[in-house]
Amino acid sequence: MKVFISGGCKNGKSYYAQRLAKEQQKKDLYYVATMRPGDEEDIERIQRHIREREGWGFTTVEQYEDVDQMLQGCDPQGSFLLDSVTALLANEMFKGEEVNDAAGDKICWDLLKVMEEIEDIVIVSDYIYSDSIVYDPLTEQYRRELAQIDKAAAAGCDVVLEVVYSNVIVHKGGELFETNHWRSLSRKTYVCP
Amino acid sequence: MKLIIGGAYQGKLTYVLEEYRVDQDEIYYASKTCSELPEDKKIVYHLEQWVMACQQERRDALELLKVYLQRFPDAVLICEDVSCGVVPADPMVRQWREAVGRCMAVLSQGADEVVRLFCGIPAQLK
Repeated sequence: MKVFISGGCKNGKSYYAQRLAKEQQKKDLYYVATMRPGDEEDIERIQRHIREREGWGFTTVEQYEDVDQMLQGCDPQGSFLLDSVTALLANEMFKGEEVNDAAGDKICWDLLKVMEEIEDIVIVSDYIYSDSIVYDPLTEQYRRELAQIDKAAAAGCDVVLEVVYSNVIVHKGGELFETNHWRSLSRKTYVCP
Repeated sequence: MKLIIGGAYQGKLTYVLEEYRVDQDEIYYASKTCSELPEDKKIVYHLEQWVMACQQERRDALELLKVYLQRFPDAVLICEDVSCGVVPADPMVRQWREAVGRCMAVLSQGADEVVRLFCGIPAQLK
């Protein structure tokens, strides 16, 4: 099944996404790592995420850009977790000297291509659209393009979830979500250990 | 009156265009520099910007809306949700955020329908 998860930051959506990916594992389990380590803080965060995944059986695929290439060397029957679209967009937008205005379109196409070839994927994004800060044009462009990818991914997924401080709101595919083998996960509130 | 809310770029305008089968020219694009509401259009987009204009021109947004809705009881008001995020450092922005919240609470009460868009997906709240 294809699941799209978004929500504010630091509310446990990565952990929840991990559980969903694990739950729908039939063969291999893949973690598509998208964050290109820039500084000490990034490296620390990545190390923390690696520790959190320890013992879950994830094979890590490093894919900082060109996400349509993520299936190379993978079994398409596997269960994939892509965390996150947010990092992918930053990498694609700022990979050259100048801002890449086509980054949003490219990621949409790349993702849809991947989604056609596989059955099971959980895609994580960040909901950064509801605050009252007036942003500079570049940040606004980033928000607009991330929303474009979110909408395309949500349209292509069977289930769309929003995580709000550990509460899960089902926006699409509720019946599928509730009746699937994830019954244990479909509780509306859960706690990340 | 119908109220359409949601974060930035979530598909609010697309929803209105498709769901109510209206054309672009039937939509009034509000801006933060004009506190007037249209006399010939019943669909207002970026109501949150209009609230900022009212704040800057020191006009009572709720009173203006009341008059507007008497003329157009079947209006469609589209407003970006600016309530979720870190409290802004700028006091003007803080007041704007609160003013939008107050307006939306009153409008929600009087609305026949409230729809929230999330990543292009509508959810009927009322």
